[in-house]
Amino acid sequence: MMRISGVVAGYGEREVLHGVDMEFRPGEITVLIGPNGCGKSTLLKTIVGIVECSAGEITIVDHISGERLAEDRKTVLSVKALSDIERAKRVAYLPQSKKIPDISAFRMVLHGRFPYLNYPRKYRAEDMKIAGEALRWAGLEDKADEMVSRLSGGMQQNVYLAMALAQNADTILMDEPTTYLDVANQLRLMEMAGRLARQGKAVVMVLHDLSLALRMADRVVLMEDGRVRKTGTSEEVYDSGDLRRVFGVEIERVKTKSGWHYFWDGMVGEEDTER
Amino acid sequence: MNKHRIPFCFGGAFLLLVLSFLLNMCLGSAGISLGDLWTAIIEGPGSGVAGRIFWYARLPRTAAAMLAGAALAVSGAVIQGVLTNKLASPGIIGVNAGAGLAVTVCCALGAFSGWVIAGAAFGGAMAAVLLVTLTAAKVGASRTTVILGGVAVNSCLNAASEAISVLVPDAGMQAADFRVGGFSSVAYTRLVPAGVVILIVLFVLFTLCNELDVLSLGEDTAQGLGLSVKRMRTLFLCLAALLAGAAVSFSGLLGFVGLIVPHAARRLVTDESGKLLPFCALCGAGFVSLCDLLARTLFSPYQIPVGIFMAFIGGPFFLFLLINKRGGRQA
Repeated sequence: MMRISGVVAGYGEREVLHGVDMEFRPGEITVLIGPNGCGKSTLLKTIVGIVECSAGEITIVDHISGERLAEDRKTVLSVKALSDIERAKRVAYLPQSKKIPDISAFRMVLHGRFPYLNYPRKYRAEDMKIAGEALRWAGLEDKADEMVSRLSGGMQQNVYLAMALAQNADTILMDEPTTYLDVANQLRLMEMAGRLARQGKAVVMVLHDLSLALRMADRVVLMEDGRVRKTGTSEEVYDSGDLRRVFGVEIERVKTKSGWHYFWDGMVGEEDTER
Repeated sequence: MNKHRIPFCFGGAFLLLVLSFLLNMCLGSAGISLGDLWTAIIEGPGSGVAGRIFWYARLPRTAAAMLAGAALAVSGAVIQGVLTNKLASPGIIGVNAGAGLAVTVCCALGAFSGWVIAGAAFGGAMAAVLLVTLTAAKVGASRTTVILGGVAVNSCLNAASEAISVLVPDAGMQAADFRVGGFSSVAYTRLVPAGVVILIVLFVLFTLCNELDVLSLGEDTAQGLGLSVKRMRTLFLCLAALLAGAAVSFSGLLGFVGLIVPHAARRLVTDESGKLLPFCALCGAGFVSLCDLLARTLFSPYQIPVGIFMAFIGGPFFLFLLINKRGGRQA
């Protein structure tokens, strides 16, 4: 479980997050939504130390490597106080912009074990095994020796996801993981995210596709101007009417066999945005 | 991907290096047979003319060419990986401009001895790189600031060198040899310290291959994997600068190797540093020593600057790789 309280962060003089509070719970997919520039990506970057956090606390309840401690023995750690390596054992992060190097898929996933490297800085047999399992989990075992640069966009994203799995962190942050993916690959990715959550991980994603976000999220965090506007299940956030106000579009929903489906239906009328 | 390609590439590069060594030893204004070579190696420098030529002329010169080639190629590969820019080379972070200016200043002050030039070149290179990396670190060590800072520092230092060359024409003439680069005046006294630096840094870099690979996944991904991006980027740039600076101290400004060898090597053995760096070292050493062989024998008794040969052989070879790979990728 990760708890974020009163986080203020930004780039130099420009403050982007003005005191943000939220929680990422194990076993849940939390989706951050909000208009461009509201601070979703900045929040993820602040958690992993790319953007400096000038005030507030980010804490995690520690049960590392799947060895769940008894409830009363759990330790609460401040993420800011952790070294980069120690943080990476607990929090995995898939940024939006990814380099696709000319290395094999297996090698790439193996780098998920980077936080566990010890002297003499070589991956051990155990790391190889975990990386192999992660590749199989992502359905890419037959692509192990292929160059990542030659895989399709969907497979490249899955390689990154397998790398995050190999990292064995309890919290996985993904910044717009569905960008550039076709519909089938988007659904495949969301299905994999669901499997991660069922394994007890706290999965956090920034998504721009509102209908995908509302349909797949266990918990939605709606952000606006560096603050949290509304937190809750998709229904709660929808019912609050905040979506319509923050995004300035009409959102409709219909009930189908597989639950509620949400879709946007044009801009909010001009007289409405006056309010 | 053909499984046997990478061992094949390594084998080929190694054979090329051995071949280059033997040719470099045997060919020249005085031919040495393989038998004489063997006697010279076994019996040391005291064993007649062949022994003296081997120990005092050809061995240091070839060792210098190989060390410089390996150092510059690995340095280029590291800089390209760290800046995730395949057009980067040691020159971009100020190595050549710094060394060039320091040597020009020395020449203007009338200090021409080999030791002074070598020390000045190394010191100048390191100072320029420190200026670039520290400026960049101050504002967050992003890849762009390193490159732009490098461009700015390069143009200032080059302008200063040229100003000195105009004001003190003799210094310009003296420094011209250094600027072209070559191995005709190499001696053990300058080669050994630089060689030790090169070998140590190469060893350190070979142990940091995973860090380099993670860094070339992009700064955000690297940070997410627990790599302290700013610190490691600065460390890698400094190690690369040590390599290139040490090489430049005895070879002069050989700009071409650090760009083209790593680039070609990536196409042959992928971006994986554990393979790329050793392969770059082998290829760089082989390439520069072969070019030096041609430079000193082809128009003997005249010696052509080695940089010219490197461009003549490396340029077309590189074009060949570009065209060839393009076809392979689409197949």
